[in-house]
Amino acid sequence: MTGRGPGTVEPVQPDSRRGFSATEVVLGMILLAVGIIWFLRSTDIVNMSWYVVFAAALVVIGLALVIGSVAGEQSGLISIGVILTAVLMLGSWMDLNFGGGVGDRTFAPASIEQVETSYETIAGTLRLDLSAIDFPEGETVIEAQVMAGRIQVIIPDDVALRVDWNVLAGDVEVLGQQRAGVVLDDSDASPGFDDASQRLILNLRVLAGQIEVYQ
Amino acid sequence: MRSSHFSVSSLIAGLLFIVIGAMFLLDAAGVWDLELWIVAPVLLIGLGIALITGSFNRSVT
Repeated sequence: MTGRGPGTVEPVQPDSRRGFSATEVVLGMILLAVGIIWFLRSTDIVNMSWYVVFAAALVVIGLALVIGSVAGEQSGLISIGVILTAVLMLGSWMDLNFGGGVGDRTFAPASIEQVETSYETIAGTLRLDLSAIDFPEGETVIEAQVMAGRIQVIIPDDVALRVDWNVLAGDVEVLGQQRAGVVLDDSDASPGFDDASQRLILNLRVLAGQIEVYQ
Repeated sequence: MRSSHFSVSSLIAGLLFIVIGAMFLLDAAGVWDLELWIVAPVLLIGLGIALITGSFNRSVT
């Protein structure tokens, strides 16, 4: 036991406890929510769009910033909010739905009944061989998107084709025309497309990579 | 002891993200057709104001 006189000053002990961090709590909640939704999507229990999830996460970050503003600046949350907004704007511009798996995938439907309206891959090569398809009269619209990688589409000779495409960064080869660069957005059609009886419209989107369409 | 003070920049950025997030949700629901050329400048203006007010606040305190 140590005796202290009336003039003794108590030594200041450093506070080893960490303060409450709104950034870590909100980031943890978002990671938790994304993990749960990803799991539910993978097991086909819930099919919620990532676009909605990210938009909701942005609102949660906004609420956390407003509530946390009384405790000081939350620069970490502001950075996450800016990144999330950029992702949402990119997704909106390219009409991305942040779906699909990872790895190279090949689809070669044998009939028009086996053709899906949309094909998606997050990363890898998405190869779509439509050469065996006898397309019906009128318009057939097929969408395909890859976040990072390549879309390869092979189409039969007897169908008129129009390709509407977006590439954030990469190169495009459609009907023999090649382009490369960033923020590419264009449409190519085969001669006589508007007057053809069988018309195929491909909506192809790649964030980073290549689009190749061969006839 | 932790010192804390009100952050105008966090408040402005928070309100901005709530508005932008709500706009994207309305767009996803098909209620409103989102124009990116509105969101982008609004984001820049809001973050600019947040940075300026935050910097001003710090220099005053």
